[in-house]
Parts: sequence; structure tokens; C-alpha cells
Amino acid sequence: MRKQTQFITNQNLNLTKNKFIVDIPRDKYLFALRAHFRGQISNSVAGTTIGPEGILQLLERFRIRMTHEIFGGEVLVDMYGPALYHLNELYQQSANRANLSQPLSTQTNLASNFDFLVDFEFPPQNIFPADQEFYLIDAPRCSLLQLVLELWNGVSVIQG
Amino acid sequence: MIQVLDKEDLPLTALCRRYSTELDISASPFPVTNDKIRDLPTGEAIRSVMFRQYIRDTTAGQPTSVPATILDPVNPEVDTGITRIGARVNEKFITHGRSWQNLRERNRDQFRVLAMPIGIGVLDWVEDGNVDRVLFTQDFVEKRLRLDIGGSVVTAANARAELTFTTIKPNPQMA
Repeated sequence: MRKQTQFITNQNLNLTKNKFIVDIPRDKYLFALRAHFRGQISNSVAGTTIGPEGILQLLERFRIRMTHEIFGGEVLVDMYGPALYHLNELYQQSANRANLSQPLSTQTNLASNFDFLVDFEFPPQNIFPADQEFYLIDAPRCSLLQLVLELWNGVSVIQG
Repeated sequence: MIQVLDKEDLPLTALCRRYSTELDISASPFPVTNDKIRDLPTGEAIRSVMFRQYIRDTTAGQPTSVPATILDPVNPEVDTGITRIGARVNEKFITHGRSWQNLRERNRDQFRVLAMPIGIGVLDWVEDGNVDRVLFTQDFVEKRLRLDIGGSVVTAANARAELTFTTIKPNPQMA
């Protein structure tokens, strides 16, 4: 299987508009996708809650939807961010990297840099490589193929 | 995005879908002891079900999947959460059926990790990488077989279990 990596898009995350939708190119068969999140957050109200899963909660939902000429309308993946992270952590033996410049804190206006990846492979994880080609997404047969990310919003996850 | 360059004509043989659902284990029909927890979908092949247990953070504006506390019950039928778990056909366990911590120990060996993430357990039918070992459920309706997740649940306010399914749907034109 000959593979190539192609960059799709680079967009600014918008705290007040928490949905990110992008069309996935449909000219070739697809093996995997990677979303890379980088930025800086701070907690503007002291003493508010930060959950035990920290930065993972910034990604609320990861969805890929398609309309395929054989399968019809399908949602290929619809997962919470922490679930996707843990699934990759276990099956790929190399977790998606989650990196913070310092632990998220309830201290007012303490800024933290975040930098993390969310990977998604279309074939089932951890199967024999020879079987993977049967599960590649035949994107040229799709009339719609979209990645939909739901992120935090102004009043969620990292309160403030 | 990783594209594949040398595949042109072959259609997708099977579709692998992954989706998360949330189960409210704070109220009726729970608590249960060695009884049904949730029906499993039939019609597709099931590769795995990953469980994540937590007490939901009910702060206004938080997404539904945000935990205030992650649950990882140790004592069956005592600690809060799903304390025993397994997959059943017609109320007989076909996969696991022992305690939550026992499942996590098995997972630790299966995934070769030093420690499992807190609150995470996986029922997996493809432990050796051979995808032919998925749980085929296509003929369960015809054979009048009931498939479900069984075990024990101890309730608590705002307790949730998140189930993440990995299923495989064959291409109907290639059956």
C-alpha cells in the first residue's frame, strides 16, 4: 500500500463558535486523519471546576459523516474526545500526544499552552496489516465526506 | 490526512464504524445484580465495546461527557458503577462475565500497558489481530438469540457509563 500525507486545512479555533466543519478531499482512498490542536487557555474565574481528564475534554465530539454510493448516508465515527484518546492509547500503543505547558489550574488568568493530536484510522485498529486495505474509505465513491469537530464553548469545560 | 495511492477500483469491502453512547446508571432500571445492563445492537459484526465510567459534572454549560469523578469500582456489588460485566447470549455469558477489575487486568495484559487508564475497560473479540474473530450478529434475529451486556451495577447520583462500539458492516453488494 503506497501512502502519502496531505494537508487539508488550518483554521483558528473560535471559542464562541464551537463547531468546526471541513470537507475531506475525495480524490483518493483514505487511510487516516489527524487533527492537531494548538493554543493557549486561561481560567478567568478562580475556583471553578476543571475535570480530571483535563485537556482531553476540550474536544467534545469527533464526527465523520459521509454519503456513499453503496452504503448511503453513514456516520463513520461519532465519539467523545476522551473516548477517542483512550481508544488510541490502548490499540495503537502510542497515545495521541497531549501536552500542556503546565497543569491546568484554577488560579485566575494563569495561561497554559496546549498542544495535542487526535488521530483516527479508518480500518479497525490493531488488525493484521494485510486486512487493512479492505477497510480503506473509497472516498471517490462518496458524494459527501466531512469532518465535524465539536469543541468547548465560552461557558464549558474550562469554566470562565 | 493519509491517502492511499495504489487503490483505484476496489469498493470498500466493509465499513468500520465507531460511536459512543451514554448510559445513565443513576436510576431505574438500576441497580442490578448479575442481570441485563444494556441490549447490544445486532445486524452488524461487533469488534469491541469500550466502557468509561464517571460521575457527570453537572455544572451549567459543561458537555455531557465531562466527569466530575472517574469511577473505577473495586468491590463488586458495593462500589459505585458497573462492578461486574460481560456479554451474554440468551442470558449466558459468552465473554468475560467477571468483575470490572478482572476485566481491566485482562485488558492490561492484552494491550501490554503498565496500567490501564482509570475508569476504562474493553470487551474485545479481536484480541489477536485476526479480524475474522469479530462477533457476528447478522443472524441473531433469525435464530431468536438475545444479545446483551450483563453484570452488576451500583447506582449513584449522576453516574454515567459511556459505551464506545466498534462495529463492522459488510458491503451488501459483496455478500
